[in-house]
Amino acid sequence: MIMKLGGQFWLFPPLVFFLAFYYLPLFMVFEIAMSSMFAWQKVLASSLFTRFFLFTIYQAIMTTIFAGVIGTVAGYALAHGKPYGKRILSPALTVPFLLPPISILVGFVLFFEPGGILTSLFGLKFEVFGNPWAIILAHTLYNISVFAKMTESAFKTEPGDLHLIGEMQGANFWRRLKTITLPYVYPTILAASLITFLYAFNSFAIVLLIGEVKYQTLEVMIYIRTRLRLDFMSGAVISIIQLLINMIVVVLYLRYSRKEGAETEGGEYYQPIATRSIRLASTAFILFILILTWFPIISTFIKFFQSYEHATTIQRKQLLSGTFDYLLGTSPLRVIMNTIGFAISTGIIGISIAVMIVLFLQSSHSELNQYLISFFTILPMATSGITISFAILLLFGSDRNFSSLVWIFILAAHLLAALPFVIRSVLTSYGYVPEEMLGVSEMLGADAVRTFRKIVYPFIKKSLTVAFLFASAISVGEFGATYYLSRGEWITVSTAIGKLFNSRYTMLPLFFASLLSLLALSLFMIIEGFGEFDLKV
Amino acid sequence: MHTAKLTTMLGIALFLLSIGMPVPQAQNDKLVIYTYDSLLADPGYDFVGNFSQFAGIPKENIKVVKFEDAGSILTRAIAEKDSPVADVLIGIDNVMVHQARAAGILEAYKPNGAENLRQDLIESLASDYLLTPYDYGVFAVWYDESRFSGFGNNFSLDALRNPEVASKLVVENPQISSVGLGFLLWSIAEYGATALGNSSDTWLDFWSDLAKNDARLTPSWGDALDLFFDAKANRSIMISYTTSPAYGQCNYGEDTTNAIVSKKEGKYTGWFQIEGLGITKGSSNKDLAKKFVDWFISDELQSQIYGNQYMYPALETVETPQCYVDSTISKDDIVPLNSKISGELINQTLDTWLAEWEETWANATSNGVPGFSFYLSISSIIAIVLIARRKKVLKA
Repeated sequence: MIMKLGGQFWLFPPLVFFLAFYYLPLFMVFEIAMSSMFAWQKVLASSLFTRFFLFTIYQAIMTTIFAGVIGTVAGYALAHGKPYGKRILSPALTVPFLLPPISILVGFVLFFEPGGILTSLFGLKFEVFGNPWAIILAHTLYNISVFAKMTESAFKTEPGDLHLIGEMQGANFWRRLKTITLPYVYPTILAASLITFLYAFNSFAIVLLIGEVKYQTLEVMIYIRTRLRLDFMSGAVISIIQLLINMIVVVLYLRYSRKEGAETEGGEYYQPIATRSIRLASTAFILFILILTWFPIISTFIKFFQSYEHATTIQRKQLLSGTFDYLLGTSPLRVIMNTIGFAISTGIIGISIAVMIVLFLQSSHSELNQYLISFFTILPMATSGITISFAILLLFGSDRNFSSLVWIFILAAHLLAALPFVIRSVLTSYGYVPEEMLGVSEMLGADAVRTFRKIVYPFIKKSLTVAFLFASAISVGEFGATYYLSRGEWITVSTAIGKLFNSRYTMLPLFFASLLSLLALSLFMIIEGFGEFDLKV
Repeated sequence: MHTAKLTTMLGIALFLLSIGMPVPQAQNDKLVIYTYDSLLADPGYDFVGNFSQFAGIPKENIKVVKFEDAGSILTRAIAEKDSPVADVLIGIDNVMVHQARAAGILEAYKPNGAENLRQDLIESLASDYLLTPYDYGVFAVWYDESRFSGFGNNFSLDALRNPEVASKLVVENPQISSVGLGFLLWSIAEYGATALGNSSDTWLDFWSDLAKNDARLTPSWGDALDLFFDAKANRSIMISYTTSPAYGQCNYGEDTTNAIVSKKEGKYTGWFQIEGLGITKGSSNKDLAKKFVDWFISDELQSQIYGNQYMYPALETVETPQCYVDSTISKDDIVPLNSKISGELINQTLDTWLAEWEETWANATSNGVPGFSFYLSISSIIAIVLIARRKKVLKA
């Protein structure tokens, strides 16, 4: 049957998935937003919208500037400063990016809370709640690694001959930095800036939990309007505005990320001599950044073990017993199982969809098809988790079985967050498959599956594995969509931390945050085992 | 053949998926109850177990979904209006009842034993029995006397505006929490609003001062309570009920907390909350749901309200424990402010008040976030950089 239908068949399941869980729901959001001009007037004339819209942009710009400056210097130090222990320092710098924002937030609050590490060690006080600078700081810590890793790769591939000519003509370090290095890494810095801006612009968990209504991103605004006030029209209008901005950023990002490293082919890379003092300074700087970005993780672990050590036997047993069921809506064990279940499913279905797309492309031989698929599957990247959940709720929410089948929609939202990364990663590897080999295979009469197995699979095997792990990592850390859609029994570790965030029962959220960090760390280490980890889409 | 292999692989993937995901059980054989997480929770009364015994059904046939606060119960029930999951909603109060009525999510039911309830509660909550009252209380400012010196003999909400007091205060978010909503209405009743015929919305100034002076906002009463008890957080005042001090008094024989309401010239005034439970329209378990409502206002459950809910039971015949008398302002001495704001007005204006509250709370502080000039400067810098780059490229 499948053979008869030919390669077109393979496009059918991904097409159904994207139509059912992304394009049709999103159409509902458009429909509601466009159904009344009154909603647009109401939103655009509201001083609250102006305030939060400007704040969303402001915090995203400030995050980009801070993370950009620190991360780019760190990237330079890693690429050219030859820091001691670089093999450990470089991957260690990537970890915070993979950590779910909610884990970062738990550690962040532990550090700054009254009686926290900052107060105990330095006697300083920094109010986390209702403070926009706390939001910007948390976002910055999370995004430094994006800049550091992306610019490190760019700095490493700087053309050596230009520097040689510059040096021969007497240009000093600063002049070469200005005329050679910065123009060369400019597209990378811009791409990293855009991706950082995108993450901060769409931030939800951090702003929801510490913004205290005073500070909201558009994402939080959509949540409050659609989930708490059931004002779907205003929510839809804000979603469309957010979506448009996201799309502009994603298009710019794709444009600049393609320009990266284009001029490096052929020549030798720039490898400056690093003196002992430069190496020491680089090491010290990277260590400082590591302390800064790792303190949330370390604080969480330390605090958890401290509270576990001081806890009574009963309190320890309570961790996974039914004591907290009334707070969580389900048992902590079920929360962990949900998280693992969603992560594995996101990984499996994610790579299954990617394989189906590859099988389709094999038989279509069309660059246009590949372009169209890349475009339509990357669009979810421009759509925030809350908008996707809101759209899903609009389309399916009135169905009688929605509540009992909500896990399917949560899984779909996780997949939509992961698929742009998965598909792009797999399609990039697929691009390395020699077209002649595909042609010969077809001429010899091999069907799509045989061609895939014998020719394509060896080329994309590694990227499939990495995509599976990365998709699972995204699922583990996903907060917005799960928080928006989940009923008690389907919450994940991230959302459970969100639920317990303000609670006086600290041991369970600390346990969950430590577990989440461990999971993210393990996934990262496995991914690293497959080669250098790429943060780009 | 290879197609078959691939299909098998996909089949295995789906199988793995299916074992990873517990199969959802059909819900229409269960009584589904939506309530908030602190209902009868401290020290704790197993209302599920006791009702299962009463009704002669397995405990597994009763499913309780707990939300952070009553606001979440209401929004969830409204969102599920076309395909209701819950059979019974517990915790909708005398403010939210108007939203519930407008949304048409409940079905009126006069329970057996309704004649034994306080009739004024029925009249104030829903005289048509859209909801049945099960408890009531008066919102109060609750503080820990060991950490805060108190407010003196007379008290008005003005006292909370003091920066020193506000920085110790925790209030619940009125968008989510019924306690927060009650406190919002208390402030409107006390300060006045244009919708009530006053010349200005002075209640908004009160909230602006709270926000400016660092009052903390939590999503729910439970979260506020956690902060209140966390010594490190140094939040020794919260919005709760006049009955809150009874917890320590009844359980430990002493209490270091006090709860007050507005007091002027020896007369107490306060905002009363009446909590009710009701059956959802379209409930698939109507008979069992009715049985549950009947049982909830019976002596068996109502006698547990004082000791586990720290509110006043709706059943008149339940005797007030001495520890309540010793530690709380008598509810009979408090003049309700509720009559100042009619149900109809609440129904018409609540959304506007909540929007105004959000705007006031958010705009009270700027905390270093710049205004329009910042964006103008940033845009100018970007424009200059882009123009300079373009000129450079053209020159080259």
